Amino acid sequence: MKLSRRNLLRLGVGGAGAAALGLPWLQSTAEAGPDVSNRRFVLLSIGHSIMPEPGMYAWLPGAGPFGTLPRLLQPLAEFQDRMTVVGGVDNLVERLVSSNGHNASSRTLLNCMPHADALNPDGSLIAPGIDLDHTSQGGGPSIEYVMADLLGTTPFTLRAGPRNGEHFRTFRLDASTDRGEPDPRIAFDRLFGGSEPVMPTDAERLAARRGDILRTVEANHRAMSSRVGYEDRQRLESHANLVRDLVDELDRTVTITCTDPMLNLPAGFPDNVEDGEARADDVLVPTINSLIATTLGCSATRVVSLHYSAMQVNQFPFLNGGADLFPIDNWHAVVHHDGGTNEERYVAMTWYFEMVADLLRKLDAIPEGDGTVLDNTCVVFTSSLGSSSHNTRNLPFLLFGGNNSGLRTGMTVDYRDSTDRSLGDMWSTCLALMGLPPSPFGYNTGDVDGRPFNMGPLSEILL
Amino acid sequence: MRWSFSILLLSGCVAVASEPGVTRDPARCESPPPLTGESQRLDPQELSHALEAVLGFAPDLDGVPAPLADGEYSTSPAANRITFDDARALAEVGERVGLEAQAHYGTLLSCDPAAIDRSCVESFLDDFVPRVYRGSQGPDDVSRLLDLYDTLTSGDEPLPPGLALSGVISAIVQSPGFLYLLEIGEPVGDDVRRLTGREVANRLAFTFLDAPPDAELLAAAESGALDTPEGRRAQAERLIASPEAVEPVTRFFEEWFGTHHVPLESRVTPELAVAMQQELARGVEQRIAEGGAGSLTSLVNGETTWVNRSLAEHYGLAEVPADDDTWVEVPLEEGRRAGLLSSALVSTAHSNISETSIIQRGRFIREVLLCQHLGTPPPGATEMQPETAPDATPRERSELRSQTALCASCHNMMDPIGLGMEDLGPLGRLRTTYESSGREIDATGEIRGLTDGEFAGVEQLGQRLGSDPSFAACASSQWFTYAMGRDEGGVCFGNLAREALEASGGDLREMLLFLVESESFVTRTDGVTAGDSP
Repeated sequence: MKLSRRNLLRLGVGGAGAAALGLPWLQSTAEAGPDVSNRRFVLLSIGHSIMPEPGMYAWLPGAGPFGTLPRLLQPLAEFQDRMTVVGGVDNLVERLVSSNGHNASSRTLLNCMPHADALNPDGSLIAPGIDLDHTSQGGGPSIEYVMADLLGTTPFTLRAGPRNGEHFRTFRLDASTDRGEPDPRIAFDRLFGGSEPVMPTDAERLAARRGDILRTVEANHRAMSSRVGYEDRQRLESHANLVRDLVDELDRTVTITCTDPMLNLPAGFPDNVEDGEARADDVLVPTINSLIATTLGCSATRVVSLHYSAMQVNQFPFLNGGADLFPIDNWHAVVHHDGGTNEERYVAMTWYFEMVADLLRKLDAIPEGDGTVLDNTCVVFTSSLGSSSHNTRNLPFLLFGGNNSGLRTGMTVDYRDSTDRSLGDMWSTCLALMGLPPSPFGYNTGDVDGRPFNMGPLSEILL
Repeated sequence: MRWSFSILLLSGCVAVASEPGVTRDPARCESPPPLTGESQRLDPQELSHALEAVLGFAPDLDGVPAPLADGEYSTSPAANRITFDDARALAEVGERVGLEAQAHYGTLLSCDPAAIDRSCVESFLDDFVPRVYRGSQGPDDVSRLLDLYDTLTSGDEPLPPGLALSGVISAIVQSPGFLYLLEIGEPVGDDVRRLTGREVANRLAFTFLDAPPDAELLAAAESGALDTPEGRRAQAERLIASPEAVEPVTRFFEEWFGTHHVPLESRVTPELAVAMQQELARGVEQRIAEGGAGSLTSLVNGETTWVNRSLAEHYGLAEVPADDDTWVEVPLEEGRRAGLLSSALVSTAHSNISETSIIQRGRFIREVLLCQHLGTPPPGATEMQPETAPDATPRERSELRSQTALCASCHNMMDPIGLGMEDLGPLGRLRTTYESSGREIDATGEIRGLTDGEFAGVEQLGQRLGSDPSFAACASSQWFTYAMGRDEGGVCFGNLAREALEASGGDLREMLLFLVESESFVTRTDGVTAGDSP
């Protein structure tokens, strides 16, 4: 990835106390005012339901303009004038396949496609009910990649938590899996790594010629593929295609609009960011939020996704004075109301919205034109599950955006009051928010339970 | 297939099998078929050994893609798919290896490292490429790498020769001849290819040592000795006897028993976690080293184990070794004489965090130790879970499940097995009551479909398994699947191995060695000859 200016990675330990914003960089030079061409998109997703109390959608206020927000959304009160809550969005594609409660809901959330094993080469469904398990691969690209490709950029995909076996949800244009970078240090370095150094090291000089090396690697794979058996040939061709994609990524020029971007690591930043118990998320997630804000503020990309992937042992000790919040070491059971109390779940789930608020503040702290980066950004928070019983109806959707986001805000729109809508409609709406043609998204053949997969963008939430 | 589910799934799912309890391979095979499928990708350990063998030093491979750990064997095609991130990681690792090699140019090159030129590089590649690609090099591989050298030493920012050679080495490390254990073979008719001697040597060495073949094995390949089952067996016996074989072969048993990625941090002390892993490793190592009749079945009905201080205290043994560095072989107490089956690590691997899981254990026995496929739960399985009292025993919850037809068809194949193991707690200690409720444990169980399948307690379960030919056949099938890195062919191999194992009285070493005598070990097919379109 070639950069227009020399940038250095600097790591420093911030002061004691709360995570430092760490954004001492220059004002973004992006154009101000209603400008679709500068809109950004941030997708935040989680793998479990947001249901502290059984049977109650605590994230969904009553339809219409917001009054006092429900308890769960209180951390977002300062942004409620820039927030839209949407109810009644269902995952219809998930009904086409057979799986446990987590595999299909995650695998189909962001791409609205059955998994690869359920599809013919022409993209048609082989048959309903084909098993989708933890090894099943995606059947098509996810919204981040589709959107980024249409915008001529590369999505910046991140993960907070361990590599989860069932919940991967992001797929590249070739449908290969992208589990997101869990370490913000590595992600920062990859995005803002040095170029045009004055005194390059051998490693930097060699890295600068990576494209030439990779072209030979690709050629080696293709040459070998002509000599091997059928299955090996498929695999080597696939590997060669990935190498070519890597070369393409190197060739994409990204214009960074700020100088000297930095990522300040707060005290207590964990050595191992993939700690399965997510015990340092109070430090890790705000750092990731800072990275997202820096990335968008510096125009390094226009599409970012973050997957909160901790699903197994998640004890939130930072919310309980250092002690485990739940009596059982099984967050998965807790979100299924099989352990822990409703109050404890409220505490944990509210924290996620505190982190969303933290991100919004950081975006709003970056001046841009006549407003802030948040004015030009649409942030979407969702989950692959609607309820604690693996249900994929009424998925939680919270959208945020400022003056130039294109979003109609300050209200709840609950499509259960009229006609339930689909995930395809939501992602089509997100394309529209980014100034892209809102075409049907994902699988769009026939219907399921009498419902079409795409009915069009959610016009009620668009300006 | 090894696993078809995740721990999450079993904590609350209700399973339906398409053909519950039926062995997956109804077809009898007369002879081992040529194998289909993809060649294996070398794992980080193997790559490290392979590079050390040709470079003379072990480079830093931190970040090189490792097999996924999602329930499949680490050698399976599904666990070794290259992703975009993997390709990028390989690029970064390759450059590091190339840079590290600069310090060793003095031994790697025939010319002065301070005066590297194109002919020096060509001479190096002529020797290096066949060795690093382990005999799979094509006619243009060297010339293509030389072209890269020319490119890197030219252009707007030419690299100096030594650094350009680093770039060439980086390309080699990322190339298929190095990354994959490619088995091209030579056509022998009917769309079948037979591995060359060099390819057989590669497979033998990586199967048992995670490393490329040594000089003796290469000589055997050259002489044609590996063309016969006897010749291959002789070399395999030599390899198994070497200390370097312990870790690779033990890893199969760890993966087979599902103990290689058990999260112990939140359950036991670090000292006990290490001890639990060591207990299993020592048990396997002993059986491999000693072999003999019964060494295979003793995996499930053995009467001794290895303990150090932490482990002896954990099991509540009367005699405790002096410290954790002291290991002694002790007789297993009555009720726990089930070899590795009753070990702390195996128990923990198939339990929930704080309590046993009759479903996980039952499924483990049925699918993994008996190779009987059960299928995946139907949609909405969790919603079908009947309501139970908070202090209901696993038996009472199971009885409720059995009243729902959709649940019973599969759970009746799992639950009775797990119920019969309830005398073994989640961490491998014997018990008679449930800690949470104080209620007495009824550990009667049944392996439905097995002759004389009723049992009471884990010790009797081990005896039933050990005496049934299905276990030995399944063990062989699992070994085949793991060692050959294929999803197919294992059941046929297991059936064919059954006779050899019966003749040997259940010799674990015989199971390991029978693999190399098989025609499946040396023949491949994909319905087309190499280079043709299907």
